[in-house]
Amino acid sequence: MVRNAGEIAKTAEVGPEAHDVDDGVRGRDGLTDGMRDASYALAETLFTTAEGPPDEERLTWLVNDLDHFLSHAGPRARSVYRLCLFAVSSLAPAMIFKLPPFRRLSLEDRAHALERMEQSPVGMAVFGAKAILCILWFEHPASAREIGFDGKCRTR
Amino acid sequence: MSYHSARDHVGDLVLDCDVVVVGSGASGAVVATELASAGLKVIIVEEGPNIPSAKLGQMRVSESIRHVWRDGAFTIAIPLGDTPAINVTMGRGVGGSSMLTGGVCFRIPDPVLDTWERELGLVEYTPKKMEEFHAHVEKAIHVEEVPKEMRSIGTNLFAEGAAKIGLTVESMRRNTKGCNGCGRCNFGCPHGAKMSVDVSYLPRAVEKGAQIFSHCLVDKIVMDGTRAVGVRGRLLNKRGGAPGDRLTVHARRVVIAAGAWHTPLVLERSGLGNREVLGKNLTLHPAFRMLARFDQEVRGWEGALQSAYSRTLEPEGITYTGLFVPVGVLGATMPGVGLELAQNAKKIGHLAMFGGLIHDLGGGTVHRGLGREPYVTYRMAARDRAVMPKLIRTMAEAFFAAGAREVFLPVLGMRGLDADALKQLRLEDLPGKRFECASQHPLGSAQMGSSPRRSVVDGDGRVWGTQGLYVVDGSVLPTSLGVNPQLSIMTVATRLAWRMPPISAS
Ligand SMILES: Cc1cc2nc3c(=O)[nH]c(=O)nc-3n(C[C@H](O)[C@H](O)[C@H](O)COP(=O)(O)OP(=O)(O)OC[C@H]3O[C@@H](n4cnc5c(N)ncnc54)[C@H](O)[C@@H]3O)c2cc1C
Ligand code: SF4
Repeated sequence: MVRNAGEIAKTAEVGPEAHDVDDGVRGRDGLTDGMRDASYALAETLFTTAEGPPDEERLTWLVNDLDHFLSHAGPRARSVYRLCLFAVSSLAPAMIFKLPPFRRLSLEDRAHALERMEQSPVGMAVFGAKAILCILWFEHPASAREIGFDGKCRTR
Repeated sequence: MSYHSARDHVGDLVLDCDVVVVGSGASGAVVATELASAGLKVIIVEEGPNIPSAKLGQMRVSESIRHVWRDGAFTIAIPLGDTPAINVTMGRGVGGSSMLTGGVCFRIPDPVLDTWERELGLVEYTPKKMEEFHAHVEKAIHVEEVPKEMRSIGTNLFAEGAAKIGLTVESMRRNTKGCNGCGRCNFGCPHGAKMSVDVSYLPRAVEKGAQIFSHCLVDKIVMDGTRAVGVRGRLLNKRGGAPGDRLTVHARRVVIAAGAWHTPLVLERSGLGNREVLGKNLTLHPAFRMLARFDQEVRGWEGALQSAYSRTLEPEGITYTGLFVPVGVLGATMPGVGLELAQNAKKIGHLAMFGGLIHDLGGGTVHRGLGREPYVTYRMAARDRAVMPKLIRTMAEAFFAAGAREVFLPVLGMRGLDADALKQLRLEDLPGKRFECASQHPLGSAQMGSSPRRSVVDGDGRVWGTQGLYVVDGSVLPTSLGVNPQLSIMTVATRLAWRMPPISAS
């Protein structure tokens, strides 16, 4: 699905909320509108299953949580993520001889492009962006359930 | 009140004490506690936030990463030559990286101490002389052996396979008390069982009158001639946690414990430290993980996080330690996109994991960057680069010997391999940049030594050519250790604190 800047609602809450923490960060946005859209397209590609793409609400929760993550994790985290996202947006389409940006490709093309890029010498950029999206995605109780994670301890 | 946050402080902050300790991690907490116990007025200044361990233990993994992992764990050592890009993680908060450990505790290995003594002239660092410091710290942080029944199934499978290929696996010692085996120590312990310094040392320091100021970034050491008389920096009280009002701490002794990544910067900005050596000699213990899929359910998250290790290959510079990472991180390291990623993610309950690190020769340099953070380069030594394939292949072979169906190598984008495919793979031919490599152990960037020409601090941690200025953190360790370093760092810090000349308490 092609999305335009700012189209994604920034308030949907269908996942776990973050604890309030006194870590010095106040009111700084982690993602620009462009980054939100690119992240949404990337997450949609990564987490599409046999049943199709994930719910819009789940993806919106993910992008909101990513925004919170980056606004707290500091400027360097934001820069590195932005760099990875930029590399994916501009280089992945070239892997399947299409023009950027990534988010304007069909879901199928995006998946092919990402697979190719993951195995290429610039695979590190996919890894960087995928890593943080996966960490957040699989924390959602529904995702954890889907993959059989119950978080039980050894004792007690 | 002894825990203070500068976040909401308005205006400049000026403090006065006997000793200012910069950084509240493994080393800073130890030195602050020892000096406060000796009756000195100690102030600890810490750049990161203060998140009590009980709260950290309740957080989601990613919340812990966003709040107390430096740069949200996105820090990279820039690779030079045929070296992997290394993701270097560190803590940033009251408790430093100690908050994030897996609890693994190794003493400084005797052969390492022998090298320090014989080759570097650090004659006070013999196994015998270090015994009392090791014992002192072990007691303070409750180091205990992990009972075999606390091992995860994944660890047992590795041990079984390792035995078949000739590796000896032993029980790990960890700083825990009442561990429940929930495998998430790196993100905060939900059971209050991990005895990190924010739980074991800092409350004792506070009890003895020490004061801890979070959100305080130290830029410079203030000197009066060759004598250190305090530090200067900024309160992180502006929008986005940016530096705001001024911080000044007047002190009769300055102790730098900012970790091997940042200590060289603080010294360099102050025009101190031997320029020939400062920031160089950084070692990282480059580390690699191995995932193996079994038919049986493994549920790798059930068990003490790092419960066993093997040092059989230490003569070749390899140490293996048990490991598990949260499922989200596992998902991130699984290859594929969409359907393939989803299928791989469903294997998570059947995955066992182990890790291996290289006892590296160094090759890292900390450079001053444009902003607050340094940029760091790392060129892997030829010997270490040559060891990498063996380190990785041996872990895979151990898992296959235990009946694994496929393994996922730490190679970016590489699909799972069965035993035949592994045999055919020439790991040696892959470029270094294809490997997924991590480090949690930056060390050595302000090394200790017996010669002012070849080191930054002397054997007592004092910066050569200065008075009242000490470095006590991982940056002083002159070589890598080949084992996880927290206990070694705390042991050296204890020795340095005890050796500091008395100053009369104010
Ligand atoms: C994820 C992870 C897991 C680990 N697991 C283990 C393990 O199981 N066993 C083991 O032995 N070791 C482990 N380690 C390594 C161990 O935690 C570190 O080696 C050790 O804590 C380093 O101690 P340090 O005092 O040198 O630095 P740190 O503990 O990193 O403390 C440095 C502190 O200084 C602060 N600081 C930096 N610059 C400034 C400044 N300019 N002004 C003010 N404050 C500043 C930082 O924010 C930080 O809090 C692990 C590390 C990590 C990151
Ligand atoms: S494995 Fe033990 S020490 Fe680690 S988080 Fe769980 S209970 Fe705490």
